[in-house]
Amino acid sequence: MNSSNNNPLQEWNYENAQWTRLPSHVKHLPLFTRHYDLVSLMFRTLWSLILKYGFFKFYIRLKVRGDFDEIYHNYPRLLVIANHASHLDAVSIAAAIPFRYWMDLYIAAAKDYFFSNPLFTFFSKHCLGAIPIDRKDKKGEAVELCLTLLNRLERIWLIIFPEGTRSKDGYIQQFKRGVSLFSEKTTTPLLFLYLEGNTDLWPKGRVFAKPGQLVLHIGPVHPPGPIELIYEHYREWVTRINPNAFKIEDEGV
Amino acid sequence: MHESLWHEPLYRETALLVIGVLFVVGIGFFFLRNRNTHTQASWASIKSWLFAAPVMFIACGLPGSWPLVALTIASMLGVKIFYQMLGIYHRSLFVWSTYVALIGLAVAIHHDARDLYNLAPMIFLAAISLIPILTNSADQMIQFVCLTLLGFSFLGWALMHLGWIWQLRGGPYLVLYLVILTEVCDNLHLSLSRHVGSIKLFARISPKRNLEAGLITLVLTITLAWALRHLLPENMRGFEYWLTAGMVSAWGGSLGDLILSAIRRDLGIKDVGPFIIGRGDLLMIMDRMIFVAPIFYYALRILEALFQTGAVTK
Repeated sequence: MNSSNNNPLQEWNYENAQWTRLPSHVKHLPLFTRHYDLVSLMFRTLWSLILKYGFFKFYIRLKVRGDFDEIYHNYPRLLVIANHASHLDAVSIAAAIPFRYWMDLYIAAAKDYFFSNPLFTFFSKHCLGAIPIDRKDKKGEAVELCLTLLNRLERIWLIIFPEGTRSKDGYIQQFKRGVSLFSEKTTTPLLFLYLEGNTDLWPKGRVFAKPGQLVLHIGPVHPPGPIELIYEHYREWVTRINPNAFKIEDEGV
Repeated sequence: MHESLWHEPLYRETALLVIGVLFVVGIGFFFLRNRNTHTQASWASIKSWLFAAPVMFIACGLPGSWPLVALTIASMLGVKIFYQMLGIYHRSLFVWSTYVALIGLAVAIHHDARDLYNLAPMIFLAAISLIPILTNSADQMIQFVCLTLLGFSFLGWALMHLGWIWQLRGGPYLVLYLVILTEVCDNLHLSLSRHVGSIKLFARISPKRNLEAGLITLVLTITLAWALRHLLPENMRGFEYWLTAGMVSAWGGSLGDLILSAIRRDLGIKDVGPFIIGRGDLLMIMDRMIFVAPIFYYALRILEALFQTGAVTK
């Protein structure tokens, strides 16, 4: 890269690490280079049309209580957290967020499910912008991946489910520490969301969702903090919307 | 408006034959795939063609100008991989300029504007030279302009000569003929090099191929060109045409393969990701046609000038 006196031309610097060094399942993530892939853009546009004007309009009626625009302008970097009880959750949150923000939207998704075969991998990469989270990963590579993206990108909304997995009974479970770790290490605030009706529409174990209404409540933005505090505030906010969202005996983390 | 080629028995027979042969050979290699690295590589190659061949036949069989659209999309995907290799894929203005120029080339082919087509690399160079001015940036601009022009020339101007061949009388069959010859030649050369020969003319660029296997492949490709001459239009079935097709597929294809190999070696990379389910990336499937298409097109024009068979007319 440095020019010398004998060589008036700079040496060429091929910035191809993004496409030549990364394994296929994370190549879509801007770890070395920020770029907007035409294929991703095309499939994401198609996917958003299907979601917004098809599935979440006629099959499941998605209602959004709150406004994403103001939050997007004030908080370019956010951890978007929500309760998790069905496969509808990630896509319904994505469908609720205006498409113009989608290229900055990422979803932490289980690698063993969303990247389990070439078709799912293609869909997860290009339609969801999924970050593969290996649930059996002991080395913390998935954590590093999320931290790198949160530190590196000027604009990123990362959807993450702090319960870690889908709730079996529909009640909101205790939060795992990961979300707090991401938030504190990268000083990224958290946006509270609450999905009402997801358990009824597509509970764990059911093959596919049944038609009905799903309500997405947009909550406050919470500063980074310990998981106990985040859980407590999330619980307070959700209980005001649905007093039965948590099991009565489930006190604290 | 061209009708779909699927109405023609010759097209259906050719598609069935090619996919059938791939399937039968594929079954053989499926059972042999774990024997050694060579059978693994062969199986990977066949797997990729088991996917690519039906896609190619579907695209070529589309009615009207849709095959030209398909060629333009293939060209764009090739450019994408080429730019990823060269590390300029995130330089959006250069990438989008190339995509627009590729669409321009397709429009020129569609309207038979050959002069405009041949001027396109110069027009494109002028256009991308404006990018440093428009962005008010000089950083690495010599590099970006040069690499973008290289990408456009190879995967746009050169490769899209397939569109010109397509426009000729019996053009779709000429394109299929060339693709079959070129791919069979590539795989034969690679396979034979493992068993015969030792003279490696380009050991530092393509160490897996040797001269002796190359010469045997040339003879076999010309033989195949003769055997498949029924795909050529009637006024092009003379020996000069199939001989030229065989030679261009063998030598032109090798040239494309060597040049892209040299670029990959200079960059220190093999590929930028698997092509669907096979080996290498999409560019590896296309690289030989980058040179075969323009050489064959101009060879046809020279033959036409020499023999006046009326072959190079619509």
